[in-house]
Amino acid sequence: MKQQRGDWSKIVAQRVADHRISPKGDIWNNLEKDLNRDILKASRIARGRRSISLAVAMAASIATIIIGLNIEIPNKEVDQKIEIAEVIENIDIIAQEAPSLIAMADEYASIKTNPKYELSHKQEEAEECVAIEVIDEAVEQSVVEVQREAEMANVSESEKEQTATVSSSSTQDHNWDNSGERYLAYSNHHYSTKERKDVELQIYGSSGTATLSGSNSSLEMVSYDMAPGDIDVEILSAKIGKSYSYDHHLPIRFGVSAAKGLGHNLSLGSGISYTRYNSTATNIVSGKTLSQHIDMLGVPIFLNWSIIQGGIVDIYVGGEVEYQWALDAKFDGESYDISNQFSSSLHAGAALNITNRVALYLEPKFSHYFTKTELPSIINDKDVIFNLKVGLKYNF
Amino acid sequence: MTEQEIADGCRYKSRIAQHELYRVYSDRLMAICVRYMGDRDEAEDLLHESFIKIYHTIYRFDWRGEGSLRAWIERVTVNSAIERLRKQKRDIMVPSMQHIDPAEEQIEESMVEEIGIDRLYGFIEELPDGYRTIFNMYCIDGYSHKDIAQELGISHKSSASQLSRARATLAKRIKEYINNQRR
Repeated sequence: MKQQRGDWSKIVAQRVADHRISPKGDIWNNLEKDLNRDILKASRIARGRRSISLAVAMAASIATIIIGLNIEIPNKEVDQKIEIAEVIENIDIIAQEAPSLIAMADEYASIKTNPKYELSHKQEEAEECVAIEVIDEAVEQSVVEVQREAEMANVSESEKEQTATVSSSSTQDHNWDNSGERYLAYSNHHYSTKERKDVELQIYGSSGTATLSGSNSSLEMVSYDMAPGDIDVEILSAKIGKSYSYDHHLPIRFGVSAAKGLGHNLSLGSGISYTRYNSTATNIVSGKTLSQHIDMLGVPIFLNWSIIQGGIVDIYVGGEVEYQWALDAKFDGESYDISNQFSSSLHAGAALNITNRVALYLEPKFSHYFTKTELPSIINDKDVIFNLKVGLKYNF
Repeated sequence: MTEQEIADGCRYKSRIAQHELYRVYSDRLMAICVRYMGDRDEAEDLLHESFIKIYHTIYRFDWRGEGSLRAWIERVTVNSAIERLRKQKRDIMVPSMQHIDPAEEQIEESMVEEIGIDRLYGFIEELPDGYRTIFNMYCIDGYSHKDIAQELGISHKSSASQLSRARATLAKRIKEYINNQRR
């Protein structure tokens, strides 16, 4: 572009080109003031002072890393139900047998508690005692009669020996026949009595010890879920049927927020966020899986304090509270009204200044939810949830 | 500090480098500002404005060897001067129906060499805004009439005609001065 002139103006250009004129001394001072002001302004922008920072948070809130055992609180209800399922693996079979067993138990209970039963039982015992006494008496009487006949037989050893022997044997036979009949009658009576008692014992044994105890054991384990005394098997099945184990997926979160500098490296902001909690529920009895989702609309309010700013990377820490309204909650396609949530969190962030106005930021965040939704979600499962927020920040 | 070190320092907003840039080049840039503005106070304002622009846009500068920084900051200053003149809507064009005889533009080169630089500068400063601007752009800073026409929003012919008048005016002033001196 520079053109050389072949006339006097060329000489003018040469002489003028290297000419120097000293400016006044205060120009640099003024410049320095302006530069300081610019730096201050830039730093204000960076820290949010005199500027509104619009954080376009494409926050793929990739949640949920569970940190440490201390903050992991298992879902006791689910665990208990899983335990129940493990114990009553054959719940269907038990449920089928339960009515008959319970009927038997009821029958036994009614028999046992019936006054007539006790009376008849005591009567049987009394009869048994009387029978034993009768037998003893009969035996003693037989012995006496045998001895008496033996004495009579001693009178004539030869003549009466055979007679005595025959008589004795016949008497004995007769006596024994009599006593035997009585004994047989008693025995038959006693046997029939004992036979009836054995059946009852079998009932006791089957319903009271073996099966019923097992059934009782099952019933006791699920009784926390039931009204006292309520052992209706159908209700029990229904209760168990409503027990699910949950697999909570990573929540997805989007939001937009704006922040205003307050001075002293502080900035206060608010915005709006949308969060979706997805879960898969597995019926612990049938193994059937169902889907569940909860949509939340939140309004966070946060306060940030800048530690490092003005360079390529800004570092800050802050706290946040958020109220979330439940927009929609569906379990297996059925909508439920669930309560809203309130949470607080602490975060640290690093923003990479891509240009003077645009920054990419990464914000790890630890949240605690004070309220829980009725439908289980990841926030119900854990006391402290870790989120990683990624977004773009635009400085005005 | 070398020119490259100054440039690098300014890019990282080093106050030392910024001051060094000012210290080394402010006299040169002040001379340019005076040449274009024709007024010392206004020239200082322009100098201040130019340095701010240089500090803010130094990241655009590409080092291309020794002298490239000086050329770049001088170009920034000239552009700032032209922009300032344009914003002030000064009468860059000096209407004159009077035909300029080419002979009027000519003076002996020895006269130009004889005259003191401050005086020469004074004559340039005294030129009307339009004449001075086009004379500076064309004769000293090497703009073509096409560039001048584009920068100032005037026609190519207007630029040439303004230059002729500027040269004639300046030649006349130099002649008068030298003739007076020779007497």
